[in-house]
Amino acid sequence: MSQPRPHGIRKKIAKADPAGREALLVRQAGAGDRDAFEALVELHAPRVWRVVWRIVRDSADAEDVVQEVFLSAWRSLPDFRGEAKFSTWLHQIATSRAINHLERASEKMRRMAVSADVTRAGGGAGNEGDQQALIERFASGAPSPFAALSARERLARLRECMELLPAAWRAALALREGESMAYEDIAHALGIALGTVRSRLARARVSLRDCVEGAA
Amino acid sequence: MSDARRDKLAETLSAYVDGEVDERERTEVEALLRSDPDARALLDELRVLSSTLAEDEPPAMPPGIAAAIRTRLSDAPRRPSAWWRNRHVWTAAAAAVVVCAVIGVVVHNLPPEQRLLPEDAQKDIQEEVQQGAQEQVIVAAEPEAPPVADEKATQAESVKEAPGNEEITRRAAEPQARAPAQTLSTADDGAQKKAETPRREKAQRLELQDQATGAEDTGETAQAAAPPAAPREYTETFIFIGGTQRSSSARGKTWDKVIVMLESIRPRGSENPWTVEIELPTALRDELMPALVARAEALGGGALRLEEDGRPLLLALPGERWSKMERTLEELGVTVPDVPPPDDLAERCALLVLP
Repeated sequence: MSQPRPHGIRKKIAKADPAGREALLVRQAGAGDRDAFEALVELHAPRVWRVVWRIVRDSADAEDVVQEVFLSAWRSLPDFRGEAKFSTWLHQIATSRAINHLERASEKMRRMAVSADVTRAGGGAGNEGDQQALIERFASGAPSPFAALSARERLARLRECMELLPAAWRAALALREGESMAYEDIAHALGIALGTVRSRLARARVSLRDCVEGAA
Repeated sequence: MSDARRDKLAETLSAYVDGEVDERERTEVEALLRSDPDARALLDELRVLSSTLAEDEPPAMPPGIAAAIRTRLSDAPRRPSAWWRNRHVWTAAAAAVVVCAVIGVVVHNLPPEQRLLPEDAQKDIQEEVQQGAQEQVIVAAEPEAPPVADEKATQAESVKEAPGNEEITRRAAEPQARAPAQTLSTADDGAQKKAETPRREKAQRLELQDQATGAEDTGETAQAAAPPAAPREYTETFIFIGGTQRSSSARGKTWDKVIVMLESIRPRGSENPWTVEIELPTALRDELMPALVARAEALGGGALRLEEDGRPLLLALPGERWSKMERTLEELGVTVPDVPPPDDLAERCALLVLP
């Protein structure tokens, strides 16, 4: 059951600019105001959904993960120190939850079966070791069919190949390609070094390109 | 091309596509692109890939997610905040260190007879006072004695505060012409007073403690005990132990004022009840909160109550909102009664006095 917000605060929140409004909502929610937290859910759920979906790539799974993300945020909000933006902090939770979801055993098993099929077809990219072979193929100078594919076919193949990428690479791609986040923010959200963001994104892209070519 | 070089090239071009290279790298990449067709081909492919990924839009968010979160929130308990991550705890700790240091310096600079000392040190002073009193008996017989007698009376007054010192104090003070009987009261006198007016007695003790540090002569100290206790201000507590910057604007507010605000709370409507938030000292919140919550409830008011781990939490505020609240009360024509703080709360509030 939600509690009434203080009269003055409600007026203050309504008057504040978007950034100030969010800051007030975060403060109120941190103090236990569920109405304020629900307002934050309304504000951020669509973006969290996009990030989570891009990582788990399944609507039912994404729905569960998004709920978990916000429940986790609600529990942890009293510890939120405001050193990062609230959205970055939320992305941190979202990517972490989505990656954990993918790494659960059953999920792994299901994906391993798919991965084996695609690898036999010539485009497996389920782990970082496989990426090297793909990069080598790229380096061999063979003519690339990648650009020759129609946009529609390229997108269809890319979606299949995305499922084969390691979860951590997908997370980096989701934040960069989906949310246009700066590398520094991605590093913060994923809790990794800036150089790691750079290398993950590069390897993910090259792997995807080669996977799409391999499936052609 | 070596593996390391290929990886490096892919990384640099990928960052270049994202606009995440510095000026030096940009110059290098652009030079390479002019001379290396493979690098150009890879760059083109990365760009195509990026635009393809941009088209990979997730499906629309199912409409029920927000409602599902709302439902699950009502069952989601909050874990207590880790105290070591709470910046207020560290602020309060730092403030406590500063306050202790200041008190230490102040006490160090006080004359020995005005310090609140351990038992051993008090014994030393008692001996000194006894010796002084004996000397005083001799000196008092001489006509030029009064100023010295005043000084000894000051010593006697401070020693009086220690339990069991009354007799010594009386003996020390007896020869003094200016020492009035009520100033040098015995323990029995004090007990009687306490039984009659416990709150006043406590306030007097607090006043005495405070003024002992600043009073220049015995007469002032003695007279300070007589008038009724004025509302005390707990400025230090608000500023430091409260732990937030906003609380500093509560400087000068008294607990009496807090109570007055609570007394003034009246429900304005079922959907928009009056709320008042009070910044409670972190360290004493648990102790004070039940009394304040109970008080607000007893008044039928709309004090904001939130739940934190199943406990009621009366939220804090003051700052600009405090004056805003006062203005709003005025606008609504709410008379702020001059209500003394409840006995129980006054007792509890005494805990807030810093040593």
